[in-house]
Amino acid sequence: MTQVLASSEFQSKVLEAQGPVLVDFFATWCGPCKMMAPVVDQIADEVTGQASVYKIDIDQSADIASRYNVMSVPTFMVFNQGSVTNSTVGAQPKSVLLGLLSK
Amino acid sequence: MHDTYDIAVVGAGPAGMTAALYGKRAGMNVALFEGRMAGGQMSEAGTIENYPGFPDGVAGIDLAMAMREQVEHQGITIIDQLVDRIIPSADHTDLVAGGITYHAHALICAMGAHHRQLNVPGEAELIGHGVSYCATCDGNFFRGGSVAVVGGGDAAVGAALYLSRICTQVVLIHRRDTFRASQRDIDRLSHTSNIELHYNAEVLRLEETPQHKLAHIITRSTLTGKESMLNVDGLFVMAGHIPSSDLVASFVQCDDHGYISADEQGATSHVGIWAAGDIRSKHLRQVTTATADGANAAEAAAEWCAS
Repeated sequence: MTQVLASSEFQSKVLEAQGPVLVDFFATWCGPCKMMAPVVDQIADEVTGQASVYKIDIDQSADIASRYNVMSVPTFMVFNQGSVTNSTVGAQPKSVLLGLLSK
Repeated sequence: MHDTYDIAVVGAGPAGMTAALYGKRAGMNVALFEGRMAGGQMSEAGTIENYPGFPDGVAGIDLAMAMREQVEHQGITIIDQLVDRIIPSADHTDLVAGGITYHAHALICAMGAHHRQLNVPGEAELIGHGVSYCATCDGNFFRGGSVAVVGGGDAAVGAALYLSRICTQVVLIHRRDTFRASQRDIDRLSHTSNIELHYNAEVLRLEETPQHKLAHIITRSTLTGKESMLNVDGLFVMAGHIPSSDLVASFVQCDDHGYISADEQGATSHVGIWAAGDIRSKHLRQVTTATADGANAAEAAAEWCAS
């Protein structure tokens, strides 16, 4: 299972991370988010050692969601050295998300 | 590299998943190309009240996940790549996905349909910033606020009703003066005090705030041409669907709207290619008719493979 971050962990785990980080902004009530969950878990397994994958529950961490203007779920963002380098809105196949990470 | 299957099913909504199940049960080696999301439109639906077997209705996502689980349990190969190209020939079809060419004896097209955009200025820029195509996904972002819904069919009316329980105000914008939704939902509309109906109106353009959020919607009366400004926090576009038939439209006969012409068995104009679900030219597009299409197409394709 991909780790769901608390707001307090965002700085150290995402913004100060060494490599790229894929963040899945999701909501517990969102159908497409549930459907994407196993795909996100697979990606987390596949990129171990090269990148990190975390989830942000937009209701639990509304501060983070609002800081990055998330107004649709799922929203996927790639962070690199503290800033957003790529993002996409809505359900996506695994290959597209892997592509976001490698760009 | 070639991976070979008896039947390739493209699309994993209710039609595609049912086709995969029936194909597998007929003893075929089946590959299911899942595309963007298993469940398709079903995964975005709120409560589905007209799929038999669920007296209290069933959440679209729950039905989708149950179908997905059933497909997995049957040992069907699921390929989570978008198909880039489909190359037909007389006795097989090649599918290119993620740089790999897959070889299938029979092809079942179950790509469904995707949301029709309004194609007005400001729409594309504001997707994810106030413009949404999924009320059950994004409604909560506008809790206590005001939203507009565009459209006049089941999806639009259903979204307006759903949003009326979350938002203080919902404006339903429709080009015509009557709705094409189920009578039951139309009756609910008239009994919902926080839904305002704007008939004979179309969206002209969307304007954004300096913070890159939706500021207001400019609409125009289809009767008088008069323009109006509507201040809302969010816009839900429910203006119908477009069939996702691009990959096959050059070699399979489609109707004037791009839906694949196919008979009840799903047989298309091209030998070895079947169509099932919302992508097929037909009158009623529902989860029930999609599963029925999937079963019929898989049965026909399996028979053809075995002959």
